Amino acid sequence: MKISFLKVWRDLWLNKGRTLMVIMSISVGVMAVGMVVSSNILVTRQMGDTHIESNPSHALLYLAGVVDEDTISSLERIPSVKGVEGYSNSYIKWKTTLDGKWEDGSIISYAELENQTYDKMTLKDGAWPESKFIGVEEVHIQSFNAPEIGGTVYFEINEHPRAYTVNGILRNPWVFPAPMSENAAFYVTQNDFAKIAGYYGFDTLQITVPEYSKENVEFAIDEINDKLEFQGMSIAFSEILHPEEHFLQEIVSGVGLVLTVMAIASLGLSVMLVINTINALIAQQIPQIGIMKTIGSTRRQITILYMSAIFIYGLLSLVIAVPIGAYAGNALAKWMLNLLNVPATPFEILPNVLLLQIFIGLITPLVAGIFPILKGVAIPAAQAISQTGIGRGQYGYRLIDRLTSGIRGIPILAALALRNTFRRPGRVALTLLTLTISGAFFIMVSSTQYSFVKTIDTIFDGFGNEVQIEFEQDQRIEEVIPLIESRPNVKNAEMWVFRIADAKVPGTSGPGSEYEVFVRGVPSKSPIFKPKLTAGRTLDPADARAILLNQKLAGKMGVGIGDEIVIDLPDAGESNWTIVGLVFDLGGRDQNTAFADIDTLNRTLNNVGKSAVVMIQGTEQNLEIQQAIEADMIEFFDAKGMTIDSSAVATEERNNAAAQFGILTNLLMMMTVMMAIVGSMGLSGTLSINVIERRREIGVMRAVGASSKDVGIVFTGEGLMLGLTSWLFAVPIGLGVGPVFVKALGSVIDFPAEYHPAINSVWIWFGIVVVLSIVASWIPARRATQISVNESLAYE
Amino acid sequence: MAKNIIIDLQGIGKTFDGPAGPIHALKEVSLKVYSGEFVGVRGPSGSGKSTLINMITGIDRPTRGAVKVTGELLNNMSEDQLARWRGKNVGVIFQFFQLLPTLTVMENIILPMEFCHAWKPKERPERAMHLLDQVGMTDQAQKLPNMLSGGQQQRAAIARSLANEPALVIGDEPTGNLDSKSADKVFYLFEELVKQGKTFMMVTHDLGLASRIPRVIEVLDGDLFENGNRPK
Ligand SMILES: Nc1ncnc2c1ncn2[C@@H]1O[C@H](COP(=O)(O)OP(=O)(O)OP(=O)(O)O)[C@@H](O)[C@H]1O
Ligand SMILES: [Mg+2]
Repeated sequence: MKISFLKVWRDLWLNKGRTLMVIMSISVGVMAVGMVVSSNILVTRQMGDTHIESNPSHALLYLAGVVDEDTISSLERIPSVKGVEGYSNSYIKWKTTLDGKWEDGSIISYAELENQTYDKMTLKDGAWPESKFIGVEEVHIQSFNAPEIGGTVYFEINEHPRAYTVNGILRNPWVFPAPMSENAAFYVTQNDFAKIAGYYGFDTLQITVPEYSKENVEFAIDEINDKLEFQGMSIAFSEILHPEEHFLQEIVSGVGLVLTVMAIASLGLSVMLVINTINALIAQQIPQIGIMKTIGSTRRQITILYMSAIFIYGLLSLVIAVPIGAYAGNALAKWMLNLLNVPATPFEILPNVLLLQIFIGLITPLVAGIFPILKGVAIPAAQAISQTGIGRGQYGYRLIDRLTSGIRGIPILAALALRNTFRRPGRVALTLLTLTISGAFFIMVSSTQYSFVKTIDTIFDGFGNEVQIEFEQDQRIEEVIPLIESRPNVKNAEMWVFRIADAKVPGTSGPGSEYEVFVRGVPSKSPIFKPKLTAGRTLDPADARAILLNQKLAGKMGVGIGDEIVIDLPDAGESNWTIVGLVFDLGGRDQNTAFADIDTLNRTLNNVGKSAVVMIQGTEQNLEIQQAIEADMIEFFDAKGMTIDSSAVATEERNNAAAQFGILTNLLMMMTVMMAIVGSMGLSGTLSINVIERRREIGVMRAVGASSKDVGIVFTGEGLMLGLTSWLFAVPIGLGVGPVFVKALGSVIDFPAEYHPAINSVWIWFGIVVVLSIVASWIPARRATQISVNESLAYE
Repeated sequence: MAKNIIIDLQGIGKTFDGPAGPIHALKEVSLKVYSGEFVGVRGPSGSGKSTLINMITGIDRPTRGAVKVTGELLNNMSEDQLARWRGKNVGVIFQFFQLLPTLTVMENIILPMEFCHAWKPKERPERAMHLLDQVGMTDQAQKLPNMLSGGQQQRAAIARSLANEPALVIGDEPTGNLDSKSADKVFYLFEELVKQGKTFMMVTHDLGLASRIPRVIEVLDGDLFENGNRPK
């Protein structure tokens, strides 16, 4: 090997600490990018593959009732339809022991379980369901403690538990683990379905068209609906699916994008750290550069030498970053896929990601290093070898020096720490920047978390943060309310009317003019209905046909306050409604809700005084009381022969919604932690560079009587000073950019959360910064205290 | 043998910008040194000795005047050209030895050969050993500089300065950091170099050593004097 390269190698080895620091910081950035990019690729690929493998239908049609196999065959004869398959889905009660508590669950059945055509389930273990033998959803074994093969499940049939044996583990692409799903799914034969659910028939249709296009599918759905309506049946709502793209791809891509942005941000922080460290390394090497020039080396030769050192840093960092990044990327992908009930593939290193990592692992440090190196190499030889070279004897001239040295009357050690902190403005700026960015992200991510939770609370507060029960049939409002209000724990109750309808702008027609809308009739002066208005006013009983429209749907339709829309209500035909207010509501499908006065709506529906949905407010708003009310209602009305079709406990749903968004915010927090690690590495690096540069001064301090503690205090003080300064910057940035961040994130995942700054996080970050600063100062400060007078004065 | 001029300074001056105004480290000075000469430079601290030396080695540039060394006009050369020229033609010895701390003595000596592509790579170690032999340091070849005494380090540095067989060797207080015994040994080496035909120029504060140098230039407040007169 050439002697000059040997020198570089040995210098690297001599500065093990700093070499390690550079390598680690490059690694963190490269690792973050590798992890996120490979996870994005793996997740998208795997989602697409399993989606295609399941032979996806082009649309799912949720019926307002059930149809039989003959109807399905007749629908298949429609020319615009290629194939139709149906499945049955019913909510049931289940438990695993006779003396256990009933749990909510659902059973799903196909005409030919083993031979499904569309959105096919896969048999993961055991056998397909047979009479008395059922299948269990694979992901629900963990999520809801559903039994494994050989276990027993009791279903409630006519109020009695009936035992069934699990003989297969299945995966249904449309069923998700908790918290994406709220209860366990079981797969049963058609006969068993009829026994357990009490009826027979298909309530969901999976259809395909001869040639996929959104228009073709919409057309086919219309034709199917016409045919069904002819038989007194209708489609409640439908969902169009892309044949190649998984139905959750869009939201997953959104999350992936956010993670990518954060990974690039941490790579950016790493680069700053690398710049700082290489700057210091070069500064230390200036005299040697001067000597090399004196004995005949050109600037090009020296530049190549140091660039090759940095190249080695890059190589070494890849050794760390590639395996960890690949492992973490696979783990992240596996975790995300598991949430979506998509099977993960075995561990895999993606060649493209590997190339990307190699590229950024080698290029970024070279780019970060080229400027410090060129700067160092450009210093004239005379200056480089003279003792009065760079950075020495300059203190006192700059503004910041005069500012910090102007602060008098504080303890001398504090003064030293304060003045030393800002001696190297470039280095300090980069260190502060890394810490500030990590802090700002911490505050932003915390605020996101808080905003999500607050938004969910607002929604549940505004739309009945209560117990909701739905009767199978419409009931007389004036009869039911007193019954409910006489029950324990109930404060008051009211009835709402729910209808799914089509809305359009007056005068428009044809494909694309109709928008699905979930119309809800609410009582005037309801203590439960307190919507969040984004424009206009709330409902007034004196209004004629007035409506509050979801702001998102209004945006889609291009209508606003004062506009009229036409609503086509089932069994009631078209009627005109005036928009008096816009509301923020996440309900319905893709935020397509509308609210009208219940009496006005009922008159339009020819349904005066009747309703099926009850909203019950408990004496206290907590999970126990609400669950008690729910259980009581089911029992009470069952005894009266009034079947409750479904029931929901708002607090339960609120918690569930919060848990779903928690998944995302936790992911973001993980990336923030990564940034904080880079930030504190940067701080630690800066301090240890300072220790090395100030050996002589430390020696002098020791010579004039400073104890180890005094020296330690000066450096820890410097660390704290930097940490706290960065905190001062991070707070306004974090709080200032927070709304933009939450808004951008909201639009990516389609959740228009309201911004609520997490003020707590400001203080939490304060605590973290203090701890990080002390921890980061620890090693450098300790090294400083170990410097002896003799050694420091003889140094260089 | 006709004497060649190896150093030719013509009216050079050097002004630094100090915090308290310009410092005239060298006022218009001229000097001629012939090949094979042994020249000493003396003068009080801050008088401009190092500045003069840096002009000759091309480590620094004059504010005015022409510098011609080994027949080359240094004024017009780029920094890299100067580095290459210096590596090949001038051996530089410092007061603080300035061996690279992470290279062994031997490697330190090979380094200038490598930079200037002098000799075939295979021949370099042998050549380095030869130089070390000249300064009596063959036993220390594989040691790191920090393991040597000051005198040993300086002898290694002398060997390094000779790596590319320069015609001219220049030292700025090369004995300044050595005890008198080591200084003596090193000075003896310089005398040997001159006997071998090298031109040697050194700054020294040591009156005893200076008295052993055939030609001595005095630097006083940025001016040069030789036997009381300004040299031309
Ligand atoms: N880079 C510089 N910037 C400003 N002034 C300088 C610089 N280098 C030297 N000087 C000034 O030029 C004058 C001559 O300095 P020089 O180093 O040549 O003196 P010297 O004779 O070598 O002294 P010593 O015996 O102490 O080494 C001094 O006043 C010095 O302060
Ligand atoms: Mg000097």
